[in-house]
Amino acid sequence: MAEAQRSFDELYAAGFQGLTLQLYAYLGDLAEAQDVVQEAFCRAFARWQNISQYSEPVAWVRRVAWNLATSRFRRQKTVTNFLRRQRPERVEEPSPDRVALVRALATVPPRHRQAVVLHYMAQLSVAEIAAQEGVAEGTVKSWLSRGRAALAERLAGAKES
Amino acid sequence: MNLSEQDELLSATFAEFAAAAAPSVRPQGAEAARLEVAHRRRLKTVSLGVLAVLALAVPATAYVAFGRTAHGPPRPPSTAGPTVEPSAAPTDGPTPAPQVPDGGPCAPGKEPTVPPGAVSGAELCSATLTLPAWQGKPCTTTRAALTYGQMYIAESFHLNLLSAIAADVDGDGRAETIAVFSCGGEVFEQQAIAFRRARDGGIEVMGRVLASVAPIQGMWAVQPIAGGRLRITVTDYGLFVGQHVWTGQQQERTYGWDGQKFVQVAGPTSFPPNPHLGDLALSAPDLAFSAPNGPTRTASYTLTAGNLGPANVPGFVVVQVPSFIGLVSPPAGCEVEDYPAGVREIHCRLPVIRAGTSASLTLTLTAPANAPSLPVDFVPTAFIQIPEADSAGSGPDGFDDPVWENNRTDGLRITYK
Repeated sequence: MAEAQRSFDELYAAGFQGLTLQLYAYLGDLAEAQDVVQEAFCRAFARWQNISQYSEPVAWVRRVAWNLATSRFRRQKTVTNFLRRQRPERVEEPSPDRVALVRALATVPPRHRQAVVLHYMAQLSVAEIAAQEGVAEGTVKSWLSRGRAALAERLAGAKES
Repeated sequence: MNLSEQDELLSATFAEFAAAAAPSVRPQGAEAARLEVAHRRRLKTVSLGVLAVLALAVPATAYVAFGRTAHGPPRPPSTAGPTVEPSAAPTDGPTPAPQVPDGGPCAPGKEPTVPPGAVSGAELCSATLTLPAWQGKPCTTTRAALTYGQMYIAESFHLNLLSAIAADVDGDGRAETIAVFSCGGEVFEQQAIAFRRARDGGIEVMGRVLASVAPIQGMWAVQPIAGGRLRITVTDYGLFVGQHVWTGQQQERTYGWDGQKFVQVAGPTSFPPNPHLGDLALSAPDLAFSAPNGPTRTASYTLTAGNLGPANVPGFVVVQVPSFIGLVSPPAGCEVEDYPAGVREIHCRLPVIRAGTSASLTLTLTAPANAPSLPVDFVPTAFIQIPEADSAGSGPDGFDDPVWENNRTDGLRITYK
């Protein structure tokens, strides 16, 4: 196997699941998250000669995947997903526990939700989130603080009820 | 709940979520990604090939070309697909070694014939230059320290020398060098710049011939013609990654040196309205439900999609609502799709909206009398969608909608009396 191909395979193997879980939490839809992450890896492979030289290729893939998830691509893919779901095949329905978190996250504004997922699932620091999103660290702190408080309240409420 | 307790609850919940959901993740695989990229490259080869033939069809005149891209279109970044513009904020970290190009003016092994006095392509490829200022986003650097005609700025963000030709643009009997640079990542800007030999033997900028400033979005080719003039093929669309090259209109414009600067001396000075570009603008109010009438509330909700573009386009509207909101008597072309996260999406195909007109859609929605007042993400969106098109929503027959900001309405609320 060529070196370049092996390193892309290694990046894919190491990164796909974690990224998909992050985007699943953010989007609330596993199939859509898998589509977005696959698209990000396609774009990475198309530029692999350059991206393989980066100190952290996975950071590039993550940034593209999140951009895709928060952009026009997602709205357009929504239609594709809609059309695809007219066929009999369906993805497996998630368990109630998973639904609880996704449902709670769905009530958190998108930017706050993104900061929370990147911090708690991707284990990114405030500075790293700020760098990925191209915003000030203070902005990320605000998103994270508000998102964390809102989500904790929703989760605590769900456990009590 | 204090910060520490919040942190603990979220850490535990996300860990449980990841552990429970991980077995359900089913990667398509790295091989599938490779096959998809190969498929897109084949498609792109077909579309770019048409434009390359058009560029080569221009009659050649006597001049020296340093690079094989001097005639043909610049090499756009390699992804075809939906329009997406990932941010390209510069990042700290080690600068990767430059890639040795396998084509273009700086590929190894090229020994161009250089007219006396001209700056050779080989010199430019490894020069340190101060370029004229870039005109807008995304590039801000004017210092170019090139290796193999490239300069790393940040991840996925580079300055590239795309082509270089020689022509005597000021009639002094010595050839100048006209190079096209691009700067950026998924979104990039181009400049055609003339260089000449400085008195100290170095390279100096003679002047900027042209920058890709709106409405010019890019340059396909620079060609010297009689009288030291330069003919540049420009396009109004289609050079950014993900945009469809066939959507752009091409024009040939001619530029000449007036002793002080380059000015346009022939060819069209503006683009006609691009018949392949659409511009849908959505107007939508808050979703206001009536007071309860028995167990339910109702709302008559009207959205309006205005066609601001030059073409008649098919519209498509998507409204996301919480799943406790129902759609009564769906209008023709409307469907409802439920998502696991308690989100319901209402998709409606609109009839073709003629240029300069608008189409309205009225939905009758219901909510339970005790509906929770949640700060939900309620963002109606409209876009152009050809019924048989792929996910990109357009194709060789159009239509792209480059003005995306007005396709959605943010900040809307769901209210109850």
